[in-house]
Amino acid sequence: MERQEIIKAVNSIFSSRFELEESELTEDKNLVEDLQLDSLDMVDMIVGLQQKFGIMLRDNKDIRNVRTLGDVYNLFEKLIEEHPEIVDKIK
Amino acid sequence: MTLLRSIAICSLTLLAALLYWVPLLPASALLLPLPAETRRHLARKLLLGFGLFTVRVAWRPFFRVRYSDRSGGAREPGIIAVNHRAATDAFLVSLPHLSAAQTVNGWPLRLPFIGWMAKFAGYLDITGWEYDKLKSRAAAILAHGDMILSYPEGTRSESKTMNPFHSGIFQVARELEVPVYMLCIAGNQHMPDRRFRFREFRDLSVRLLPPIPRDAVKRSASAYALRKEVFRIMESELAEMDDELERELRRSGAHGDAATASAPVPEARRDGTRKDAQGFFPAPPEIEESCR
Repeated sequence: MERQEIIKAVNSIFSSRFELEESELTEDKNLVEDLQLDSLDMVDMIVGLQQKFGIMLRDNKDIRNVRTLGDVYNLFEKLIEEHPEIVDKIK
Repeated sequence: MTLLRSIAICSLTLLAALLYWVPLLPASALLLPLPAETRRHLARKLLLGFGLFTVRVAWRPFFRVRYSDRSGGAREPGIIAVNHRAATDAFLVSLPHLSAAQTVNGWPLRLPFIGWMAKFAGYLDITGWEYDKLKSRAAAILAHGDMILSYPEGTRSESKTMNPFHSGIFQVARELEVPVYMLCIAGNQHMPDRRFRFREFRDLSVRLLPPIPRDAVKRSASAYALRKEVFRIMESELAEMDDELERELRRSGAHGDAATASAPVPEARRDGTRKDAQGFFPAPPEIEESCR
């Protein structure tokens, strides 16, 4: 799966759940400082990503280190490399 | 001058507290045998009365507070989001005459007397409680016909610009499917500052906006999206209220202090547009009430 497709899938969650414009969603955006997500929004984000990619993220250690939108893209790039079957589950 | 102003208003506030609570305190003991939710409701009424008494009696010699109700009389139990510039907000929120439990950070609950009363009235500890406990307590309050009053900025901004909102209370509104009211308070950014100094006395404006109805709350994409919408509406309304206050100040020949003049100007004012609730929710007739 191309990085561009991952970006599109992740961004769709941010657009639908948080009503953020596509133009706001760039790799360097800090989730807390720039997009102003708080802890509750983070939970919402994780739930949305879990549903979109069909995987559980609750026990994933890397999700705790996510700071920017680029980190989210990188995390899913890594996850797809390790578990290629995810691609078939993306909704 | 600042010191004199601060001493004068703090003294009168304290005196108002004594005049109000000393006769009422023995009577409030009668609440003890009542069912918990009824007792809390009546305690909220007492706290509301104290707020009104302070604003209308103790502060009357110092400044004018103009309250306007644009909610169209909507009173379905719901969440009231209030902007938070200064400690005086805790009193000014009494002006809509709504019986409400406030959400508070843990520390005010630990204050002597007022903290005890707040606990007695079932105020919600938004930082100390788990989300599920917060939601279930909020549901009980709303079921009893009272409102939940919350400061989504979390702390005082001391400026005309609001701090970013937190999502928690908007998640509660979505899950309980209740309307969200918006109460805007303008003019008191330095009344007082964090060290409880009144750097100025000036007229204040308090305005209750048309609520976001429960259906719209239910339809919102997330707590984040709802919070963003509430922020946008309040930011726009506050910009207008601040403009009105400045114009009145200029007309009366007085001038705001340097800090006020240099306060950051919200986006809605800079681009000259007004993206407010009026197009979204039709404006009902306004009820104005002046406190002096």
